[in-house]
Amino acid sequence: MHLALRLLTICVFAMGCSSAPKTIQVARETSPVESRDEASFMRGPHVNAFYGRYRMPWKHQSAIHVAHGAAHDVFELAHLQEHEKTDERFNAEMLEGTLKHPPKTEAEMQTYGPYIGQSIWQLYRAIDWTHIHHGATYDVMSSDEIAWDQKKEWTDKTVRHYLEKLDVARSPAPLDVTMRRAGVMMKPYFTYFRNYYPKSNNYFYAAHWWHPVIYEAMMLGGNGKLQDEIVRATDELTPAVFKDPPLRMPLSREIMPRYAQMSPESANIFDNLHMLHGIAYDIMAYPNWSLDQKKAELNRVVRAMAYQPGDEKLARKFSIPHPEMDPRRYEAWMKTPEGSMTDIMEEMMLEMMPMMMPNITASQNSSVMAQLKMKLTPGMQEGEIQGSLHDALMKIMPEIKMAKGAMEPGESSPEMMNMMMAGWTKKHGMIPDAPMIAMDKEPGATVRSVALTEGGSQ
Amino acid sequence: MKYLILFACIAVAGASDVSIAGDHTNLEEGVPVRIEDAYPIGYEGREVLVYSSYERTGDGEDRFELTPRLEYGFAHNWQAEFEAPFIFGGTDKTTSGNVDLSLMYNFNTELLWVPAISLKGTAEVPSGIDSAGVDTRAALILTKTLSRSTFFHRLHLNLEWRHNSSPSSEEREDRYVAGLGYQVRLGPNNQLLADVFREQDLKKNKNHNVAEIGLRHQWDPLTVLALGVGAGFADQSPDFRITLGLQRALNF
Repeated sequence: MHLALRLLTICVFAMGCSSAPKTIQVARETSPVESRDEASFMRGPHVNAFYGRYRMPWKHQSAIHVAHGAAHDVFELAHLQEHEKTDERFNAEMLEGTLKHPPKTEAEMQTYGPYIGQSIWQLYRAIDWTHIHHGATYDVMSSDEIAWDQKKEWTDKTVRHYLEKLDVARSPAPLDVTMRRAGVMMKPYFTYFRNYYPKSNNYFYAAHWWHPVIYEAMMLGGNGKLQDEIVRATDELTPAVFKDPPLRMPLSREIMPRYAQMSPESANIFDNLHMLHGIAYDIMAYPNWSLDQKKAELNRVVRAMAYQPGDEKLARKFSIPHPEMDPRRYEAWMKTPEGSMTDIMEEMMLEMMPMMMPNITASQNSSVMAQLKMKLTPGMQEGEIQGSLHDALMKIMPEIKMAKGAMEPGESSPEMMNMMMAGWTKKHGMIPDAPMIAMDKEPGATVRSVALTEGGSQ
Repeated sequence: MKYLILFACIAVAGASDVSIAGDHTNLEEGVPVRIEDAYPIGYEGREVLVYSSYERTGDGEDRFELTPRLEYGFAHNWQAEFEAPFIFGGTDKTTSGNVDLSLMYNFNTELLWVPAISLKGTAEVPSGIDSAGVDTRAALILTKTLSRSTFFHRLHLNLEWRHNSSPSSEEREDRYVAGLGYQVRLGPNNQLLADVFREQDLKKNKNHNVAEIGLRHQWDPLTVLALGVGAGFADQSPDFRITLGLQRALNF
């Protein structure tokens, strides 16, 4: 039975792999006029629970979403020559907004980034819709009207609503899969944002620490008072983490392992959204494409990383490196450039090498991997080549073989993506699924029932 | 004034047992100014809106209006509205209690040089005072964002044609309403609005013009409170108008 499930997973994966290029070709837009196509949130007893219960964490979330909206216009309209000044100013303003004056209500992307809202609407649809999903899943976990043993059922309902009501849902497959489908690593913009705007980039790395650890705090706390204590203790780390941010994008599997086991679909959706943010900022920061070219490329990426039927079957295909992590502690391993995100990138580079660099020497190989590591680290390192990862590799190996036209905006290389997906299948397709987490025993329930009994006897 | 306070209380109390909304940037007629934007509520969105206004008419009469409205996003880019304005005070109450049924369709999201365009059709069911025949309206609504960078400014244009199916000898059969509005974000929780409208009245040979300014405040993630003031100018325009509004989405 177990073997049959694994085989089914591989088949589904293989179908997804072979359909990816088709999706890209069929979905290319022909008209500049697009419909608005928005949808509303899922109704239920959970609605508004996060806001009602955790006002300061809610405000932190709102501030982060304001920063996301603003970043699109700021980095698109900035001049790269002034990147240090722009980086300094944006980071300072967003830190101020997050830590000193967080807004009490949520922001749609267009309210703070109206220029890109009028130019690349599909990007904002994808982001706003996933932010609504963020809100719904926090609400489910915060709501004491949803019993602990029903949290998964309600979270699954929010995932279904998210996947079914709009056609821009992010995939519930792991980031390993969607990054391979997106095929952005060798694009001429990749790593621009983290290399030239490191402070702003790291602000968002801190933001992508914040979201998962709040879920994890809720997972540790149960429905009662213990949840309040752990969420507040975790959220109180916010100033310290934003001032000393992680140097990579933390993934759900690393810093919300329990939530990722409860709802791998939702966890992957958030990883996929957070990566989309990073890719969008790379494209905004890239100075050599017109806005129309950026739109073509971002629309391609939004589609490539979107939900494809069958993705749910892949949702548990990840390992959990720190199953016992405590969200109330900002550990050294959370801050380093090395981690699951970097592992994915290095794997992809090794998968691409045989096609791009069939005659690579050992020394060239080590130069490529060294440049990759530097490019993935925010800022510019000693010995790092200017420009994107693509620019750096072209300098090391000018004879590198790129698929014709694949580097152009809105284009991709199906052969390369298939090769990477085959690499992922070989390495990860047969790994055991991330385990389910038991939700029948509520954390803190014993403490709560004792307290209630004592309270009742007084 | 006692009517105004009463209506404000009714408006708030009427919405206190529902929850959720959050359609902060999308402008709705009357909450708190007349201008409306071209974007409908999201698919499957349900909202209740209540607004009440006091107007000192050009004839020196006190006119109070209380309007509850339901909005429903029954399909992508479509919005249905059900509304029943009630008129009070020492003024002409013709049409008070009529039920307005509207459908709005948005054709596109805006581009840098193309506004968002919507059409809205309304049928006014003659369930109210001294009403006869189903009157109809058709409106063209345009919205254009002006901004680059993180500022948020929008212009709106509303053009409406109104048809009176059973006009009396003193009433117009067809008339128009035209309005131009401006919207700007003031911080994360507030939207400042301004508009100017010209309308042909139902009575022949009467027209009025009103300029308004209003504030939409997002009270919580899902509730918007609104306050607007307006003044008439030229023709038979009202002296002034004050409007209070509340907008909340329904959690069912």
